[in-house]
Amino acid sequence: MGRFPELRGRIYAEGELARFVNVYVEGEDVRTREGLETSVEDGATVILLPAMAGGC
Amino acid sequence: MRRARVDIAPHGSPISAGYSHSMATPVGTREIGAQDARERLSEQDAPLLIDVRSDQERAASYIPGSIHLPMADVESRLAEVAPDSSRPIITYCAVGQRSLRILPTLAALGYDDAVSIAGGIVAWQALGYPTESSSALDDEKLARYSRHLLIPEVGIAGQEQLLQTSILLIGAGGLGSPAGLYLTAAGVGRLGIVDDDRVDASNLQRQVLHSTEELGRSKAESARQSLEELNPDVEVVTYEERLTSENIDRILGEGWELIVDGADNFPTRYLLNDASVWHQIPVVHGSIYRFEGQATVFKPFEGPCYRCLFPQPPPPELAPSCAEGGVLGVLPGVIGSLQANEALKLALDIGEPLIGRLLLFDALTARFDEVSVRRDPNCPVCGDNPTITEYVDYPAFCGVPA
Repeated sequence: MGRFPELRGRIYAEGELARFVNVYVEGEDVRTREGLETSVEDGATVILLPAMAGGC
Repeated sequence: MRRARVDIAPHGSPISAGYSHSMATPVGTREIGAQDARERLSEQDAPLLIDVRSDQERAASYIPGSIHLPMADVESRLAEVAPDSSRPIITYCAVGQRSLRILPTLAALGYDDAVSIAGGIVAWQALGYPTESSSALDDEKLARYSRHLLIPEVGIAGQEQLLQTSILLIGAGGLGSPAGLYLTAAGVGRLGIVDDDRVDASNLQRQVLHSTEELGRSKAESARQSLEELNPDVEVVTYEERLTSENIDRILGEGWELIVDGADNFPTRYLLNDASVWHQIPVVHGSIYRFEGQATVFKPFEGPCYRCLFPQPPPPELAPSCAEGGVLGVLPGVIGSLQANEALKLALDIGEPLIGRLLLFDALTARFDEVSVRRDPNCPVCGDNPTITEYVDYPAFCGVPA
């Protein structure tokens, strides 16, 4: 978040990670770990996943 | 949530393995040539002939008079099919490897007088000896689905299964087009299409079910025509209506075993999710935007549901649709085909479906990623103590005008 401050307004809701965005570290949802405090090893893959509805 | 990989016929079917056994098949000490086997089987007090192949292989063809006892069942069921352990036994499989390998097991169970047909049913057929088939597929279907029949995991039994499967497509658009085409080509018996839209010029860049001639026509009807032309074996059922809380129970109640979700908006996605959990119908989910796609399988109570993955939709201003933000024409082709792949696997009960796994595709880097999705015990719909037990106002929930 420090590196991409403009993200905060997009993915936060009421001080927490918004429920329509999932963050995965090495394929695991950070909500099942330590949330946004989850440690990220060097070279780990972090995926920020927004819900998408398009099927058109 | 992953399921163990199931190898139905680990040694492959005789045809796909490319064997060409002939009369020259060498015969080992615990083996009998096909010609000798036939002679012994025609004698009085003939040996018991046991087919140790899989169900699929058995359905395709078998030696008349043989008893079917797949490898895995030999230990538990041999005494039942062969109560007299002194009666000689002849075993066979496709090419004679499994039926030879099972002999020590027979000996250990007290059946000492057993031999295997060298070269199996392939050698038998090569000599022109008769076989029977329990298949209901006619010659036209045998030809049309021959590339499925050659795969041990599909085979005749799998194809018959597909021909009896009912799959409902939500949307005949970007995702529904490739999914519908491949499921139809694969011989899925009954395909439903829910779409209230009409074919628009802007659809034709990716919605390959429709053509220029179809402009202005109902998408469901246009889809029906394309699919029936592709494969007359498939019964196409159309619903020219938009899914709502009022009609979804009626539509889902018409015998659909699987749903392929190609909806284009959040209210329909959440409505379909809740209904599919309550009707206990698995949903093969796909979604796309610009260069990115997602696919997964929501199997009620066995894996997560859509609400476990995304408890809330994003505000509309953060979630533009394809109509607003665009989409690369081929992207729905990739994701919709993956959905067809998952639907076929579920229908055939093979492989590892994307239950509890969300597959992500980025067309720009041509990379796939996978993340795990767990069932949320606190999910308001599929959790242990659900708080949502009837349809809600989905447009309001998603913050969009109805």
